[in-house]
Amino acid sequence: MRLALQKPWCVRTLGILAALMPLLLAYPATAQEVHPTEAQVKAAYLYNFGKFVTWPDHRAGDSGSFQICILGRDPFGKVLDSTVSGEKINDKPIVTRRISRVQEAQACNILFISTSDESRLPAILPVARAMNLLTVSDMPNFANHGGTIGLVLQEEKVRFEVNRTAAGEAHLVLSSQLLKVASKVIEKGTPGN
Amino acid sequence: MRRSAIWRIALLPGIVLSIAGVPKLRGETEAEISQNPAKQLTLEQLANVEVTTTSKAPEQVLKTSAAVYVITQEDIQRSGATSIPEVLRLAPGVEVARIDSNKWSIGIRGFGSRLSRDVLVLIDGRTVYTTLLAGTYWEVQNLVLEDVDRIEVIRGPGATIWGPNALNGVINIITKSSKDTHGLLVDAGAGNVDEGYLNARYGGGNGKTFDYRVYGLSFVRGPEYHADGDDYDSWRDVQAGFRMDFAANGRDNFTVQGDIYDETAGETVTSVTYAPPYSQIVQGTEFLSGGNILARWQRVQGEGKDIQVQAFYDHTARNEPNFADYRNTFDVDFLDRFRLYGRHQISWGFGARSSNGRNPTIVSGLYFIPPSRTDVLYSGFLQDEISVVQNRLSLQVGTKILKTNYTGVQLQPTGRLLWTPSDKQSIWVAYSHALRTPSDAERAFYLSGFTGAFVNGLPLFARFNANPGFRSEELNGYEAGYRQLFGKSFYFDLAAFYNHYSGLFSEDIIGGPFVETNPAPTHILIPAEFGNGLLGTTKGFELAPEWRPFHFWRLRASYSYLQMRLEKSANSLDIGSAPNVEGSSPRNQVTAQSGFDVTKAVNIDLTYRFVSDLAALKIPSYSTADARFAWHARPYLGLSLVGRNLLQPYHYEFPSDPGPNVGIKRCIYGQVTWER
Repeated sequence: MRLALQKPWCVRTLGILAALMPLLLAYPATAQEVHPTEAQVKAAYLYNFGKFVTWPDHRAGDSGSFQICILGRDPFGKVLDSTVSGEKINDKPIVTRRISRVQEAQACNILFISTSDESRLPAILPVARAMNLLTVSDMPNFANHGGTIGLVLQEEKVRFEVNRTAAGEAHLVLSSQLLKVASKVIEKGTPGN
Repeated sequence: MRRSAIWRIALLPGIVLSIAGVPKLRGETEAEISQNPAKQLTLEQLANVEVTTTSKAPEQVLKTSAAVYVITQEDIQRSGATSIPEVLRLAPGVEVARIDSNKWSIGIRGFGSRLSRDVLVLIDGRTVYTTLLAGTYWEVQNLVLEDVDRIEVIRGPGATIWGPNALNGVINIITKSSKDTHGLLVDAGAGNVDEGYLNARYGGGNGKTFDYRVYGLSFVRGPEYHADGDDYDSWRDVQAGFRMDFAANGRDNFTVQGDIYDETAGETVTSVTYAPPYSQIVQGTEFLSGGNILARWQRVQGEGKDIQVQAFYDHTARNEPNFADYRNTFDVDFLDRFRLYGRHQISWGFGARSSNGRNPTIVSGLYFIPPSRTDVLYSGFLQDEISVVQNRLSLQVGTKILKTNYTGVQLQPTGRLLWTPSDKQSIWVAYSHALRTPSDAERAFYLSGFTGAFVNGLPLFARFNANPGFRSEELNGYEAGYRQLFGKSFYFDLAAFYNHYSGLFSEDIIGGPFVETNPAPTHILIPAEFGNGLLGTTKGFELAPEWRPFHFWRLRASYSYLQMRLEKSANSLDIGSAPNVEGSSPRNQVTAQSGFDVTKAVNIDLTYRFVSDLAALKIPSYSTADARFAWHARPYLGLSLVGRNLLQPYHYEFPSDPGPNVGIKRCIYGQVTWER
C-alpha cells in the first residue's frame, strides 16, 4: 500500500536522465530543424507576395529596385535579408529597408508593419494606401483593420488573410491564385476612408 | 469578479498583446540565416507548412504594468501536471500546497488557504469564485489540459480590471478557440497515484465561420500517503463539455460553451452536533456535480474599439458529510473599449450577478441562517490608458465601482505607470486599493466546535455566529517591477510589493459562556464571530530569470520571497489567529526548470522545487523534483513518462484539518496521446 516500494526504480530513472544530460548537450543544433521557424515562413511570404501582386505602372516613388520595407521593430533580423538576397521580382533586384516612419516608404513596394506600430495603424494605413504600398503585418486582425494582407498563426501554420477592398484602394491588383490560397478574403473598406 | 470575465478577451489583446513589437526570446541559428528552406515553397505550400513557434510569454508581458506570468500550453504539457493547481506551481509568487489527493491550499503573495479566499479565478471569463465560503473549490475545476491555451497569473491586486475579490491575485484560465482544436485527441494515462485517466476531444468546423469541439474526461486518482492507513482521499471525476465559435462578417464573434461534471472526492471532516457524540471525525465522500453554460458576443469595430457582452449560468451541487450547497448563479457583463483623442484608450463596463444558494443543515453544529439566500453583485468600471510618450511612457488610471447585498457602493481605484526606455526593457510602478467583499461565510454562517469540556455536566461548545457587521477586507498595495531582455536569449523579470491590509478576517470571542437551549439539547456556549480584527503588511519580491542558451534548451528559475506581519487591531477580540495566518505561507520558494529537446520529437524536462517551512502549521521545508520524458513517436502519437515528487517517498505540504496530516507521494505515470 505504501509507495516506498517504488523508490529504487524512480531513483534509477532519474539517474539515467541525469547521466544523459551531457550527451544531449553535445547534440547538434541543426538536427532540430524539422520545421522552418515562424520567421522563416513569414519572410518567405514577403518574398512570394511580390510575385502575385501588380503595382500601378507609374508610381511616384518607383525606383530601380523592388523594395521590401519594415516599419517599426524588425522581427526578422537577418532571416529576411538572407531570404531575398540575390532574388529578383519583375527583373528588379529585391532590397530590404528598415524605416521608422511611414513617410519614408515612398519607394517601397511592400510595407511590413511591425506589431510595435500597432497603435499608430490608423495614421499609417491612409499614407501607405496613397503610396500604393502592399501592407503586410502579423498583428492581430490586421486585414480586418484595413491592412491588405494579415499573417495569422493557425494551428502551427502561418496563413494569410487578404483585404481585397484595401488592395483596390491602393490600386493594387491581386492575382486570383493569391486570393485562392488566402485563409480569408475580406471585402471591407479601411476605417476612415 | 465580473470584469475579469469580460476583460479576458478585451484586455489581453488590448494591453498584453498589443505590446507586440517586443523581440522574440529566441536566438537565430546559423542555419536559419544562411538559407531559408521555406523560400522555395509555393504559396500553397507555405500556407500548409508547420512552423516551430516559441513561447510568446516574455513578449506579451514585457510591456505590462502588472506582475503577470503566462503559463503556456507548452509549459502545461511539459510540466507533467495532471490538474490545474499542480500547473500553478510553475508561476512565481504562487504558493501551491497539496493537502491531500483532491485538495490544495493556494495563495498568491501570502494568505494561502484551502479556498484561496483572496484570489479570483476565471475559466474562459466565467468566475469560479463562490460567494458561499469565499473562494475557489479547486477540486471541481477540471479541464482537458491539452485544450488550455494559457493561464495568466497576475500577482497583486488586479482591482480595476479584475473585480472585487482579486485582492492578492488573479488566475485567468483561457482555453483554445475551437478553431484551434480540430480533429480527434485521445490522451490516456495510468500510474501509481493517478491510477488512470482518459481525455477525449473531437473538434471540427470550417476554420472560418463555424467551429466546434466536444470533450469527455474521466479520471481516478488514488489516495496520498496516510501513516495510519486511512486512505480516505480517493478522487474520481466524469465530465463532458463543448465549445462553439461562430464568426461573421469579419467583426462579430460569438462563442457558446459549457461543461457538466460528476465527481466524488474522499475527505475527512469534523462533524459537530449538539447531541452526543458532540464531535466526531468522519471519513466520508464529497459528492460534487454541476454544470455551466456561457455565451459571449464580441464585435471588433476597429483598432482599439470593440464591444463585448457575456452571460453565463452555473449550477453547483455539493454534498459533504457535514454540509451541503445547491447553487444557481447567473451573470451578465458588458464591456466597451474605444480610443479618444488618439492617446486615450478608454474601457468601461458594467455587470450584474445573482447567486442563489440553498444550504440544508446536515449536522446541527454547522448551519446557515437563512438556509436559502441570494447574493447579488453589481459592478461597473472605468479605465483610461494614456499614452504619455508614444511607445515609451503610459499611464493607466481607473476605478471599479461595486455594490453587493452585503456592502454599500465601494470604489477600488488603481493607477499604473509604465516606462519602457527601450523595446527590451520596462519599469513599472502601481498603486491599488482593493477589496475582498463579505461572503455568506461571515454574514450568514454558524460554525460550532466542541471544546471537549463539560461544565456542570453540560457540554461546552464555541460557535462562530454570523456577523452582520462584517465588512470588506481592504488592501492598499504598492508594487513595482522591472523586466529586461538581454540579447536574444536571456530574460529577467523582477517584481516587488508592499501591501498594507486592514479589516482582515479575524476569529473573535465576543462574550462569556452562557447556557443555550436552542439548538437543543441544552449546552453551554462561548459565542464567537468572524470579525475584521487583523491588520498588517506583506512585503516581498519575485525574481524570475529565463535563459535559452540554445533554441533546444530552455532554463528557467524563480525565487519568491514573502514576509508577512499581521497583528490584531487595537479593539479586536481576536483569539490570536494572526500567527497562524502568517505561518500558513512559506517565506522562501525556489523553482528551477530545464526543458531540453533532444530532438524535436524527444523532450526531457526536469524541475526542482524548494518550499520553506510553514512554521505555525508545523510543516517542515521540503525539496523535491519532477521529471518528464516525452517521445513523439509519430506525428499523431506521443508517449511520455512522468515522475513527480521524486526525491522522497512522500513529503508534507500542508496540514489536513482534522489531522493527521497527509503525505504527498512520489508519483509516476505513463501517458499516451493520440491526435489526428
